[in-house]
Amino acid sequence: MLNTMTTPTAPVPHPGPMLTFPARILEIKEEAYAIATYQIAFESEAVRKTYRFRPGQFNMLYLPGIGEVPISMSSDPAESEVIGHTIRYAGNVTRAISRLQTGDVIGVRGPYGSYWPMERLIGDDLCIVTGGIGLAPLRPVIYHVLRHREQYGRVYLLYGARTPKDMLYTDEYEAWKQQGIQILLTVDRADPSWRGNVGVVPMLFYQLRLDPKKTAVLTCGPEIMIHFVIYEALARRISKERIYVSMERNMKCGVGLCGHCQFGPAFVCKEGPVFAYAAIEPFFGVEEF
Amino acid sequence: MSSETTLQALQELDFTRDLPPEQMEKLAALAFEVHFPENFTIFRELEAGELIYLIKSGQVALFVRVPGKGRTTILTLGPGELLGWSSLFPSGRKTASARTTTPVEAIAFNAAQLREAMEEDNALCCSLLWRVTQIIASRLKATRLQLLDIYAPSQEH
Ligand SMILES: Cc1cc2nc3c(=O)[nH]c(=O)nc-3n(C[C@H](O)[C@H](O)[C@H](O)COP(=O)(O)OP(=O)(O)OC[C@H]3O[C@@H](n4cnc5c(N)ncnc54)[C@H](O)[C@@H]3O)c2cc1C
Repeated sequence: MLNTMTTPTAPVPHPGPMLTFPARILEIKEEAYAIATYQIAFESEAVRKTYRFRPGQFNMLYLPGIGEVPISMSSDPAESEVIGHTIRYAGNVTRAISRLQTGDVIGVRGPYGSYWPMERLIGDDLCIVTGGIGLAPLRPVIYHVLRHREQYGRVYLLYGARTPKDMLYTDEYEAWKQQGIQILLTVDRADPSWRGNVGVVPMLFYQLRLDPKKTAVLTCGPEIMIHFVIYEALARRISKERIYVSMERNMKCGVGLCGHCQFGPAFVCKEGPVFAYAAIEPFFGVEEF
Repeated sequence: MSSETTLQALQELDFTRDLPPEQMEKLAALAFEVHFPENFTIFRELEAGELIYLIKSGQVALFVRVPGKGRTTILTLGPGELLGWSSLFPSGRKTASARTTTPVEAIAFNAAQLREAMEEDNALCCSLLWRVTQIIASRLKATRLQLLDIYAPSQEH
């Protein structure tokens, strides 16, 4: 049985999470190769005003005749009238999204899923460790921290990408640093202009002096990266209960019916995507799961 | 630098922090502090290299020369990390070149002296080899992850 005690469960803040509502694309910003951020707003004022999400949650984005995909919110949860989604063009549906333009309308249902336990982490040091598009579901955490900076201790962002050009949200790093977020960046492949770290993101742990009793790790990215992040976090005596992962397994229905995203006894869409590592340890890294 | 400040520096570094006091003192007696300016080549690939370093501050890039591609940075090392471990082994030639990308402060050890101390003191030898092995294991895992190219765009795109 999944240990729900250590995993925050999802609130249902607006009345029709199974209903799809039309939302208009207000802005599209290219972030990196094959990745863009879409700012969208619900057409209905009533939905716009009641819709709320928590950092780490996702929406199902629907294109008629093509399909539906789960995509995390990447924008500020305190400003939920305009919702940001950072999308990597992976296959059928996301490539169809890449052909949309500002002013086009898509279907949106949500929010779904568990979220990063920001209330429980008050008073803690936060170590946000992520790679590639994995920064998208963690950007709302950063916005939340910036709005409530005094509630958290030291906050680190450890972020890795394939090359310097693949890094997301680079124009925001300076502001984040100025507001007390320590950022360590690394790339797998450097170009001659790159002055930062080279190597994979878990290796950045070696540059930190963390207090294991006070530190929570929040991680999202390719599953294999998460694996190594957990290894380094545990090696620093951070407990399993204080390591949170977002498992962005492929899913279809978003409400725990179809079984596409089953992860051990849990459905990523219903009980995830954010889990305390203590709750999923037995299934983590096991191929069939 | 006095051995007292070296001792203090070793007590603060992850690599040495948990060593028993008598081992820490032995190491402190062998250690000396070095400073390098930015863009300074500390050692070159295939050099025999006599020194091993623990970085206190700053960043060092490890690079290799790849025919047709030139200088390729494979890894950077920062505060608390071990640089030049291959010299710990008698035949150990440096497996990459090391160049500072910022000013660097480090604690240096002469590899031959360190080996001698390890041969004389089994407990010290065990402590150090255990730590070096953990670092090599971590770097091996990291290299695998780097090889997997996990952030690559999907093949279909
Ligand atoms: C909770 C959750 C949150 C997510 N948040 C985001 C986000 O913020 N931004 C974003 O770009 N993507 C996100 N994803 C992944 C996104 O949902 C998939 O990329 C998308 O469903 C692919 O659909 P498609 O029709 O474009 O591609 P498909 O044609 O279905 O697949 C194309 C290729 O992508 C692979 N793929 C599909 N889904 C995933 C997945 N979940 N993980 C890894 N590989 C996959 C397939 O195996 C296939 O190789 C999230 C997934 C989940 C479960």
